[in-house]
Amino acid sequence: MLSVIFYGILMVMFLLGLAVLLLSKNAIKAVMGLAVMTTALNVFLVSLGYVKGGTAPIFFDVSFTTKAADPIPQALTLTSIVIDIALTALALGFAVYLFKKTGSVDLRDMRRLRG
Amino acid sequence: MMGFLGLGDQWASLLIVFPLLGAFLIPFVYAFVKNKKVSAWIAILTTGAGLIVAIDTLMKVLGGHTIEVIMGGYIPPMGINWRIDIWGALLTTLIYFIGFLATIYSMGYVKEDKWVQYFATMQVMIAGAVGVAMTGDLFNMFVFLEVASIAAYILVSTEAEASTLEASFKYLVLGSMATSFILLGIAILYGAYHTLNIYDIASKIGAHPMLDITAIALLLVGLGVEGAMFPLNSWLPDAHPSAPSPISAMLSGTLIKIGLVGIVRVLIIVKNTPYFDRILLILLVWGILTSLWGELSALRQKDVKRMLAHSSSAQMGYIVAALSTFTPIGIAAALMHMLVHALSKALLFMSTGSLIEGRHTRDIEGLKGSGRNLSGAMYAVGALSLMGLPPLPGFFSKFLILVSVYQKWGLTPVIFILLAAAVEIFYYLRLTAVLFDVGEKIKENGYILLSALLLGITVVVLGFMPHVLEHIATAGKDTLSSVLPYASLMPSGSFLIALGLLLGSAVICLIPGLRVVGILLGIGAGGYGVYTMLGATVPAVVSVLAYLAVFGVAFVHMQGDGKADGVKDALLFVAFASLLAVLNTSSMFVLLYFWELMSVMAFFMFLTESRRAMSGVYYSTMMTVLSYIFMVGIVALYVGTGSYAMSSLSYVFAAALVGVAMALKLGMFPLHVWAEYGYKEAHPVVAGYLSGAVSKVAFFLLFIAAAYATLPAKLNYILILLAGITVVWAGYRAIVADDLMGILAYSSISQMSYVLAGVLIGGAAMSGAWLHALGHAVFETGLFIVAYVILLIYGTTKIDELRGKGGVHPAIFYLAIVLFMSLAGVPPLSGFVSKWLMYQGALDGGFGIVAVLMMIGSAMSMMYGLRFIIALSGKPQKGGELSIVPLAIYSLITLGLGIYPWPFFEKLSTALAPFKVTVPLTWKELVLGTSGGGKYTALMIITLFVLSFILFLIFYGLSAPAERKGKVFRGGTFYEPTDENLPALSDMLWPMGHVGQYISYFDTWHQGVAFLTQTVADVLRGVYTGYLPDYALYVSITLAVVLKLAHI
Repeated sequence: MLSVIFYGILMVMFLLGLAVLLLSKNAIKAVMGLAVMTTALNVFLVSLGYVKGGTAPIFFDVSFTTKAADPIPQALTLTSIVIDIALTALALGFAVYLFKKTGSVDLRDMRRLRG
Repeated sequence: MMGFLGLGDQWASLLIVFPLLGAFLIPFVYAFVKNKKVSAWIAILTTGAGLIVAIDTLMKVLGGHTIEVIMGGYIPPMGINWRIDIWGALLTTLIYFIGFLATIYSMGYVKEDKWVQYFATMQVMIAGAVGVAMTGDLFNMFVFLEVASIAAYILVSTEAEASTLEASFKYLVLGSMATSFILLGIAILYGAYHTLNIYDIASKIGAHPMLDITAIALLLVGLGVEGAMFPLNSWLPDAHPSAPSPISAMLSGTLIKIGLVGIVRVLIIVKNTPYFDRILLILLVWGILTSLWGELSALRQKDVKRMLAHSSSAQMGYIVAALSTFTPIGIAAALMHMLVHALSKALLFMSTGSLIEGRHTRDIEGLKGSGRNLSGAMYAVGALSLMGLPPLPGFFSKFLILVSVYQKWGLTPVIFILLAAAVEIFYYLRLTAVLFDVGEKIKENGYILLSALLLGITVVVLGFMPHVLEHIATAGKDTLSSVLPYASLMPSGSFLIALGLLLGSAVICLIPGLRVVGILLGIGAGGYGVYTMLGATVPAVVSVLAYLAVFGVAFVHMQGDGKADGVKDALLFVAFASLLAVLNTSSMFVLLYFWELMSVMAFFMFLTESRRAMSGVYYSTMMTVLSYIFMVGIVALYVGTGSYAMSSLSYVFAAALVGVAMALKLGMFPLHVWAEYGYKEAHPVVAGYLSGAVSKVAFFLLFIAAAYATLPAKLNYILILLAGITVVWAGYRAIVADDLMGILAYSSISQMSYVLAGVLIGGAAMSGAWLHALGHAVFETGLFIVAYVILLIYGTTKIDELRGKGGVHPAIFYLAIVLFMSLAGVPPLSGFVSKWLMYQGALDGGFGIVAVLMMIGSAMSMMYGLRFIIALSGKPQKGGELSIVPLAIYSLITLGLGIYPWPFFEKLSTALAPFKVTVPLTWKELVLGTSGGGKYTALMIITLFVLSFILFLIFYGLSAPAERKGKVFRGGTFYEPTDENLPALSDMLWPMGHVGQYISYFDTWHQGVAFLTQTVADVLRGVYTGYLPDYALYVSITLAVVLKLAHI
């Protein structure tokens, strides 16, 4: 039951980010939407390695029967977070640059290329 | 190089080490050396080294060795591994090859102050792309995808203008959406199966169908964004053109292919699941939708790079459609087209980039006339290859795609693919025509030219080495020899020598001052080629007919002295060489190849004069539609019978398609409209060749289709009736034409329709058709030669402008009359015998109405013949005397065959014997017929003759009083009759003016189709609104649709 609520919240969060992307007219907000989406994703990813009652998977001095969390999702999540930071920074960089060039971060003004 | 440094397979990991090392070294070294040139050289060094390793890897994979690279010593499925299959190896090689050339290119294209960050970022992009291509681990794929994408986002904005930043931003947001979908898919798969290894997942999948399908849908949509599938490709037409040309080449050539390879990986995962076929079907529909939408969006672009970008996503659609078959042939087709498209599209971006650099504009109109140089030639190579025209490699890959799709999914998707391809043909030909127009010269940069040339040469060489293509596409198994029998493309023996001589003469024609020598050599070589084929066979007879025409036009063309004339002659001889190759084969595959080559040459003949170039575009586009029908026939032949042998045409469906295509090629109603561009607007020499020689090959193909298969009776009847209608319709258009070339264009169509009807009716009409085909080669070519003389003397063939002038040498005048009389069927010329036989055959075969139509057509030919002759009836003028030779030969031939046709019929009867077609041999048979109704037939013919004469008199009589009253309708417009615009005697057509109006309106139906296509294209490309949330919505909707479809 708890996990249903947990995954439900994550899904809502992911969709919320998507909704911001679909609805906002501001470039910065779009980047924020993207960030919310990827954050939800990262939480989902790290939760995959959760083992009930398990310890951290870094100890050598425990017996084989000790439960430990799956380390792979944690590694994946770390990588993913790094990528997301880079992406967000780059996107915001583009937005800043655009603002300097055109004085606007409104997506409705960013329609020079179409058709 | 195996086991280099004892590394074994691990050696392949250098593929990722080199570019990353380069990316690190470039800024690092710059920090010390402070010389930006060094960055370029480091980049060249690392990509060059990578290229060597990549080629070695590809060779190993082609040798049947799947390379496993294990990262960090952990054995999969625990550790990350690379499993390099043919997809990865080929894509890696392409990335390095194009990357290497793009690096050289950039040195001439990108401003030096940007070099450090530019080259470093490019190295990162290469590393990322290579990683995606080779990895066997899903999360690793995600990371490399992000690495490549981030580099690409940055490179798109190299120029840092508002529009490029906008493109980068949209690309980034959509790309990140895509990768987050991919990551979600990967996470779900990991949650379900606790592994990230692609092959491990593939072996475990199936335990949780709901999760599987959701994950697969997420992966497909995410990779679809990277792989430019519609409607996820909204970023592409912004991003690819915004980047500097070398980066555009890399993005379009290789980077969108990593999405494709990702899709292949997904297919590997789901291969053994029960919903695999459903996913393949989704991919098929998706691929076709992408290609149709992409081609239509490209159609109306004004920005050349945007056009190329849309075309890229269309090409991805073709590849995915081929992949959706997942048969060995389909996979080979997808691989081969991936290779061809990567090279060709990169070449297109590089060559147009050179022109853009020269003119400082991306506007198509602004580039007008910039292409008469090496860059332009390279553009033509890339464009022809993408259009799938021989001798370039695109022909093989596109053909293979059609075969695979037809084999798995049937006819319908093939039709859609070809519709998209027809649009593509049009816009690439149009751009070719624009670039090869006359215009200001541009300066070309050495680095740019070097890399474009290297790439262009690679493309051309691959076109001549199809076994290499096969070897790569089948991952070294070489299993395509039955579907792509390229080995039989190479002619042998003395025929090969003849073709070589023809090509040699073509080259000599190009040398200034030696043109006449080249022409004479070409005529001789052509004669030798025909001689090697000589014998009582159908192809031999046809080759003689075609040679008659080519001899004439080449001979008289010695009188021209323009620079374009030499090119025209060279093209003529190459075209004739391919024409002979068409006739000299019994394999329909070889035939198709040379047929297409012949069409390419025809298009370039139009290009030699810029004022005719656009007509060439329209003509060639229409011809392409025809050859697509032909091509489907041959694809159906292979799939239906497993063989390309001509005798397999007994497979009726294939034969019917070939027959219909050739009937339309002969100008059958309603596709006779191409005559307006093909024969009328062509240079008279080109038109003479097309009408005299090429149409005979179409006739030949129609004959074999009709001879090997019994066409369905209904189809046969419809074709015969349409041919009869064409006789009259085209005859009418010839009457109202305002140009000598127009008269000849439609008269050629009208006369070939007799032949078309005659072949399909059979019996006596068949022998009449053959004789008329010979006659047509002689009198139509002869008359086009007369038109050429007029053009030489007066510089125009318009009847209005010739009014009061128009005189030619009396001998030419006289010979023109003889030829026209033969055309109209006046005894004792050959046209009389052939038409007589066709009337008789039509009546015997129960096609009375067609006989009547033919009669009317003959009456009409009298009328337009008269107009032509009157236009020539001015005071005798000097000029074009050389034409007397072929004209006299032609007249003698038609006279001789009119009086004594037996030798021809004897040869013909031997040639036709294998097809069980008999020809009448005596006058008695000719006049009285062989059946009981013979006398009746003769009587009917005479009655109809008299009737047609009376008809002629009525038209003539009615027309006389109409002089100078009201408006006159001619050539599609109304004229107030004044002395200026009313040529002598042309107002005799006045009574038909109103009819003519409607007929001429109907003949513009193709313009309606063109207009409709353009409107649809404009509406369709309207989905690229430029508004980012719209694009995000497309991605979301597509995800929902794919999820829904996959869950059914």
